[in-house]
Amino acid sequence: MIKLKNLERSYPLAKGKFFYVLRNIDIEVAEGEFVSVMGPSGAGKSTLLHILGMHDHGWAGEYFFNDTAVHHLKAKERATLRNENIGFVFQQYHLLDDLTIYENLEIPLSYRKVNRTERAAIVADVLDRFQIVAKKDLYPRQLSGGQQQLVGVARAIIANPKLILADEPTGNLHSSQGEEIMQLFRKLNSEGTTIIQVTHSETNAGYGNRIIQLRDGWVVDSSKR
Amino acid sequence: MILDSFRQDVRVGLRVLLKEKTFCVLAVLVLALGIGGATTQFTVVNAIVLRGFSFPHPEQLVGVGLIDPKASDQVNNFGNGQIPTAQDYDDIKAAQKSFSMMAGYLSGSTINLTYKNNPQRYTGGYVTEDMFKIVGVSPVMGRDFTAEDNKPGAEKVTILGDDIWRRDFGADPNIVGQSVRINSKAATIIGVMPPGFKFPFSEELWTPLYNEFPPVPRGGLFLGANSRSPAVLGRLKPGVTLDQANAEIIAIAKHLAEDNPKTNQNFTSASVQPLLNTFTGVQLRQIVWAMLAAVILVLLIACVNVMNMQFGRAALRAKELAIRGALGATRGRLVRQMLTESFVVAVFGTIAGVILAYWSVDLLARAIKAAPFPPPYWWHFTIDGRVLAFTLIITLVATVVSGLVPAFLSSRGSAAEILKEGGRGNTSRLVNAITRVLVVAQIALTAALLIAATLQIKSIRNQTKLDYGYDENGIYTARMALMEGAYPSEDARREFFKRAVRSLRSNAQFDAAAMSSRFRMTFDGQGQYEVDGQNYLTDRDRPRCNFESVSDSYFTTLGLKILEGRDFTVDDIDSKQPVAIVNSSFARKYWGNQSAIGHQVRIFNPAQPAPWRTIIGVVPDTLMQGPFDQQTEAAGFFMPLLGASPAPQFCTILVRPRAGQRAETMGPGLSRAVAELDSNLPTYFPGTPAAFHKEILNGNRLIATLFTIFGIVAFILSAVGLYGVMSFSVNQRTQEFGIRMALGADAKRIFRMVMTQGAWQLMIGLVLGAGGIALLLGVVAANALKTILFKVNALDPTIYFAVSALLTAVAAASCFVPARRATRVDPMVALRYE
Repeated sequence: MIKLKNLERSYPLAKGKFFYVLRNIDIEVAEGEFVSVMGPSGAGKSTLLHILGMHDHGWAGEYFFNDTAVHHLKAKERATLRNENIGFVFQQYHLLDDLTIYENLEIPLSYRKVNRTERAAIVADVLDRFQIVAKKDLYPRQLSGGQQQLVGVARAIIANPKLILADEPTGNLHSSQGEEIMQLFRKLNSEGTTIIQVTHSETNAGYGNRIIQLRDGWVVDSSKR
Repeated sequence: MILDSFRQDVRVGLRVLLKEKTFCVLAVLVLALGIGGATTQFTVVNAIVLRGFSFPHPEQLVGVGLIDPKASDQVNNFGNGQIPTAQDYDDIKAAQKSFSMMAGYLSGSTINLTYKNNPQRYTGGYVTEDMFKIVGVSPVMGRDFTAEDNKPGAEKVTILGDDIWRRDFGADPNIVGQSVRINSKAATIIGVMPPGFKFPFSEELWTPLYNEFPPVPRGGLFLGANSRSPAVLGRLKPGVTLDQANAEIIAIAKHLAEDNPKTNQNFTSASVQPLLNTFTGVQLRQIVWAMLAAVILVLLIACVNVMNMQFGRAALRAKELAIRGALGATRGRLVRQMLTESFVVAVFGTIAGVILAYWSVDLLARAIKAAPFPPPYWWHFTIDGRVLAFTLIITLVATVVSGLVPAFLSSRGSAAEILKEGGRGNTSRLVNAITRVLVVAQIALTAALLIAATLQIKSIRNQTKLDYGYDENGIYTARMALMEGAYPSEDARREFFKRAVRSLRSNAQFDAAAMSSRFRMTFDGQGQYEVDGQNYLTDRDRPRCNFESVSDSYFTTLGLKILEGRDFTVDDIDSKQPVAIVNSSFARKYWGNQSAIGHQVRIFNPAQPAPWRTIIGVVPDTLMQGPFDQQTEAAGFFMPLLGASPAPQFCTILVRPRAGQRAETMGPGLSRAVAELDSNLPTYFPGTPAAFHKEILNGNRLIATLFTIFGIVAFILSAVGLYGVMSFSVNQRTQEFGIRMALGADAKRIFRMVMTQGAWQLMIGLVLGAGGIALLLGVVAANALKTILFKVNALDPTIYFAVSALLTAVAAASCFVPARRATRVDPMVALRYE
């Protein structure tokens, strides 16, 4: 599904020098995998995630997504590819404060031009699957952190993405809530969704089938468990 | 303790503001504009409506008039009423018990005074003997008038004002007792009034009323030849209220109406009002209060702007406040600190505003003094204690309005959450909502102000574009007054007028010459009239129109052709066969395409029926109703001045220069020509009608200019405010835009979101502002506007549309830049990319 070849991400420094965040990255992720990216702070984990999510365009090298050469696509084409295939889960949930849970879930669908009736049906289905029907008219601030992240995951999968990118999805949750989210990821993965998560937690990494270790921008290990 | 912490807050506030120079300068400027405008306008309100007179017990001073309850405001002198004849004044004075003293007077009148063979025309007052006693001011030299002085036939006396005593009499300490000629009659100067005293308006000297104009019996329309009926003022007895005085005078009015049905049957009510109200008039009071309301709106818009800036600062300082809170500051303490900073800004704004006000008040006072009619002498446009107290109050209001809500809201953020979230407060949602509401309010206020200003501008434009019906630059005019001393009989006056016209026409400088009763070629009489063959069931059925007395060749001097029939001749004498010339509006109104010649008209006077006048000619329309009257129609008729009975005392001479000469250069020639006829007869108000018509609109022009300035300031403040709020809102929503982009929103969608938000605010603001002002102008103040706005529909859709379009354009421009910025949000940065 994903193939990175000699991918590098750098920022210019003074006197024509560069600071490299990612160096010579060669990674392949097959469809249906559940990959955890680990490493100390500053290793380049989130940068890698945003490049995979096609938010970051300032990299060099080759990136193939389902055999599509992302490195040859224009920004607009990348956005279309992203919208069709990728869902995001953030550490700080990033739900929109002024929208209800229902409306938060509806947003990715409206951006993908799904019509109103269809949107209503999909949102109702997801609310049911995640057992949050009773919360649909509440605002994010009225939910606990765990519940907010549950909505975050629901929002990530609502457009039926092939890939979920999760950046420290349990970073702000206590252990039982974190476990619940990871169980959910495992379930989604078993249903066929590819998941790549950034995590510091060995336990969470244990839910996946592969760990990519980053150090100072280099991949030091990407072995299967 | 409190003082100590206040001092500390001020110190910290100053330090913070010094650090935030842009905010500080902008906020001070914005508040200075608002406070400066409000202070200037309050100075005007204070001078015209509030400060009033410095006489003892001014609250006891009142004006008195009779009211016809079924007549129009105009007839009833806008609520002040009128005293139809001197007899009415005498009867009221004799019957009443509420007043300790009453006086009748004519103000702003012409008094010709000859001193050491030098004749000069002054603006003076004809007053009854108690005038000065009522206001409690005595001459500083000599004596006051007595009842004896006021009697017809008594030796003529005069009291000088301080100004002319110094200017024209060399401040002669022995002036009292000296002989002069008043209106060509021997008179004695009996006193000089204190410096600065020009009561009631801007009088330069005074002479007894009845001595000059013996009271004519009830039924005579005029007090004296061609003069007005007196105005009446009085001093209430101590303890008598306005209501009691009103009740008494109304009862007297009813008695007079019953006893004199021919003349007084309509005057069944009366009005006793504070003298200041009588003098300023309801229209002027409405205008100055409306203008104060307008500048308060501007101040509110300024405060809203500063409030928005404060919200922006509060959001940036949320973390600082959270730390302060975590360190033990109570919410009250935090609010106080923020408010102190607002206060410091407001104080700087006030200082700059008061400096601005001093400058603009000076400018305004000079503009008003330059007006053709001098303002009442008791108008002092100065920034006094009351104005400064008002400024202090608005400063505090500005502090509270601009600072309290931001301070209150920014102090309620949870320290734990703000610190945990790295500076993003949980108050942002409420703050966003409030700032959006504020923008709506700003747009609404600005729309209202701009619409009011545009209506005013259109009104003044209509007045400046008025067609007087002739070339106002083509003739030169001057006024003269034939007083009883030199011209004691009607025949004497008639003979002088005929001689003057003949002489001017034979003067080589002039191509044509004529005379008219029209004051400065602008204002003249109007009233009810009758046309033959029309049925009138009641007195009120008689319509109103304009009258003017003119000599022969008046129309040709104006460059007008007689459309039908003939011009007046010197043989058209009222006592032989009264005749009239009607204008084309009049002829069309009654006889359509038929000829008006031979029909008859007359002025309606129930007590003393006027003679029917046979129509001998039809002339083109001239603006007989003047530049301010939009209630009286254009129809009017002319009467022969040279054969009029009674012969007028005051008249305007008009001359047309020979070909190749410019009218405005005719002044010296005309003065010389009149001096050759009577060396003791001064001419005054010289100039072309065009120059005067321009001058008399200066007041309205000033009002329109001020409204325009208020509108422009409000407009700029709103544009800045809208930009600021949209910019602030985009900054606040950076993360949201990032999330939306991460979830798939494209730039177009984000751009549309921001623009849509602005559009909603604009639409609600426009609906509220335009709707509010339409409701106010079209319904609540519709009657008042009829007299303020000249030939302008207060609900003119083009004005509402134009203002809406202008604000839409500005709002679009104000939203465009922040909206573009929103589309450039980098989702990675917004989502706290590593």
